[in-house]
Amino acid sequence: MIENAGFIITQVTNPINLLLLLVGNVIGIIFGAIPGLNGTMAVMLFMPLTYGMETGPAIMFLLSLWIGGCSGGFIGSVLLGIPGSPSSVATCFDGHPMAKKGQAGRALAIGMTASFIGTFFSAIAGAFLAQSVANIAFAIGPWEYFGLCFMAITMVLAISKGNMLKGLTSACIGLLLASVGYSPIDAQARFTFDNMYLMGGLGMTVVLIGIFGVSMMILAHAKGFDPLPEVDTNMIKGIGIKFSDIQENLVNICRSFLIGLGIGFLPGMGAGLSNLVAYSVAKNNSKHPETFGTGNPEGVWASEASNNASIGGAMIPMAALGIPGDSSTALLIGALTIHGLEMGPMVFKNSGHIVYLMFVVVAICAIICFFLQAIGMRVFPQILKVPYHYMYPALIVVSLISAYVDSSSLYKCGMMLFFAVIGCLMAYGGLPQSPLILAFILGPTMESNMLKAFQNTETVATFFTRPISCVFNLIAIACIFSPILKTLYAKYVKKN
Amino acid sequence: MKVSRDQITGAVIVALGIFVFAMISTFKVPFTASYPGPKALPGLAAVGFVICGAGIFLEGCKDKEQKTFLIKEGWIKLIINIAAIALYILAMQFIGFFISTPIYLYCLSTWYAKGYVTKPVSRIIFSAAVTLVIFLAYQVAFGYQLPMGIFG
Repeated sequence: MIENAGFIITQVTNPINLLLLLVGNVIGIIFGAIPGLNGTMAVMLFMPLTYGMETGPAIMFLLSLWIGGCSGGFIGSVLLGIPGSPSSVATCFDGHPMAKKGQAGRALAIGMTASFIGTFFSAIAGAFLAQSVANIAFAIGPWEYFGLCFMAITMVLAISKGNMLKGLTSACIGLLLASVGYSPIDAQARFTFDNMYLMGGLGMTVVLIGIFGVSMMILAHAKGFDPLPEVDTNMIKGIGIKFSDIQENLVNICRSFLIGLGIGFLPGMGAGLSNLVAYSVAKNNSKHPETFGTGNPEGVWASEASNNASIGGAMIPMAALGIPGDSSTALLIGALTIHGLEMGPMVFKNSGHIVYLMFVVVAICAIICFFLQAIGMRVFPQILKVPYHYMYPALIVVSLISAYVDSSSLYKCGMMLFFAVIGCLMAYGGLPQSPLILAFILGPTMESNMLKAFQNTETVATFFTRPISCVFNLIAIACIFSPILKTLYAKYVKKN
Repeated sequence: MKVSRDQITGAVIVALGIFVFAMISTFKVPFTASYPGPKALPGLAAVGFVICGAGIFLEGCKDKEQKTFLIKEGWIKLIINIAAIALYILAMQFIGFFISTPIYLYCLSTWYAKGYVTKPVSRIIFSAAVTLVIFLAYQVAFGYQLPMGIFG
């Protein structure tokens, strides 16, 4: 790494490159904050602009878009209660209730600080661990991936507000929705009803915003609007939180960071999974788990520290193995290939200067985002002062347009309305929404890895003979039975 | 006989499970112990629906006192909201984004503002401004083509 220091310093001190980083971060934050748009879309949209650039500035600009998008996702989740992307779903659970209680500034300050910690330290960890940690990925096969997804889905029991049956039902709806379209490997059309729009599966934007956003707004009107929340921007001093806040949540932050880093480095996994897992683990380990979902800052710390830690994690397999950790890193690999760089085990030898530049750029982007958000933090919460009769109609239209631009088809808007109705019906039945989202995100990965595993060994026993897979699967089974065992134990204690 | 929300939810979920079972039985690739195939994931969901749905139904039989979800007026508002969105989507299909959006925004903001003091002028400005901002953000800045309807 030291031998590349000269090149890295030249690149990051170039004023044009710094301007590119700043512009990229601003655009990325805007993309992250608007429902339906995200950092990956920003990278996709602006990638053609970089074809004429040198490799260094091009990768710096693309990374700044990605980091800005990941970092800005929490703004929409906190202020509007609509997740900009799957990576900020868990931030909605406590971030938006905090905003409704008049703590929008504090929630944003926590999100901003946790994002900074997650991104900055994951980049440092990635730079030092990339080569050695990547070797572990070689030992992980489809059995382990299936086990990890299975474990993550069963952890919904922790975030389904106490009712195991309703939580599992919600997860089953997610699995059913994930199976719409052609199946992996066998290409069997499932639940498509000969409709061409369903053959490619259901879009993430449509399901996420329909179930979380549109249904929430319709129900808010049907139930009668709450009074407008207070806005705490006048009370914000410095970065909005004290150092003691970080100290109090240090264990939660470190744990969530490690979860995010670990999940991020597994190819195909990413921030969409890590934020929900970290949230459920934080809830399980909290002294006041009953306050989660009502505006507990611990939930925001966990979600934001983990989803941003996945950035550094996702860059490890991208650099060392040439395997994308998520869709953004897949695009970045494509962009690097256009610039003549082939990611993989030889990249450290052939283009080590670019790889280490990437980690340094991510760390710098974390700092830039932190300052940009610290400035914006006093302005963003003003949106909460907009009366509901203006805000909700505007948000419904933005949600529908975000569904439309997903595939330039109004059919997707109709699908979003369908999922808004599903969201309302789930609210009627008291079914929690988060297990559905988690199962919907993980369903395809879980299924394809399960089928690959069976193709290899043709027996279910292998899932329990491979040590890592066995641990994941046993934890998953324990998660399913833990509420029953807890109830029985409580009854036993009461009796004696 | 009073039927609780959980009983209705449980019954609907069990019915959904049976429907999913019926659907996956039409898949050509068989489910075997050595290779579960495309039936596995929806099959797992179907089993979950039947077991959990039955459990929720039984829980509903025990506890019939539940908080009211929505009063009659709320249900009417809910249905009108859904119908209004459906109408807006259809309107975009035929008359395009630029005509349907300000009309939809004006009507919805007027309805939502019932009980609050607002002026029609401010609602007109709001409707036009939101339409313009969406156009500038999505079409001009990011290059997405918005629906044009018959004018496209």
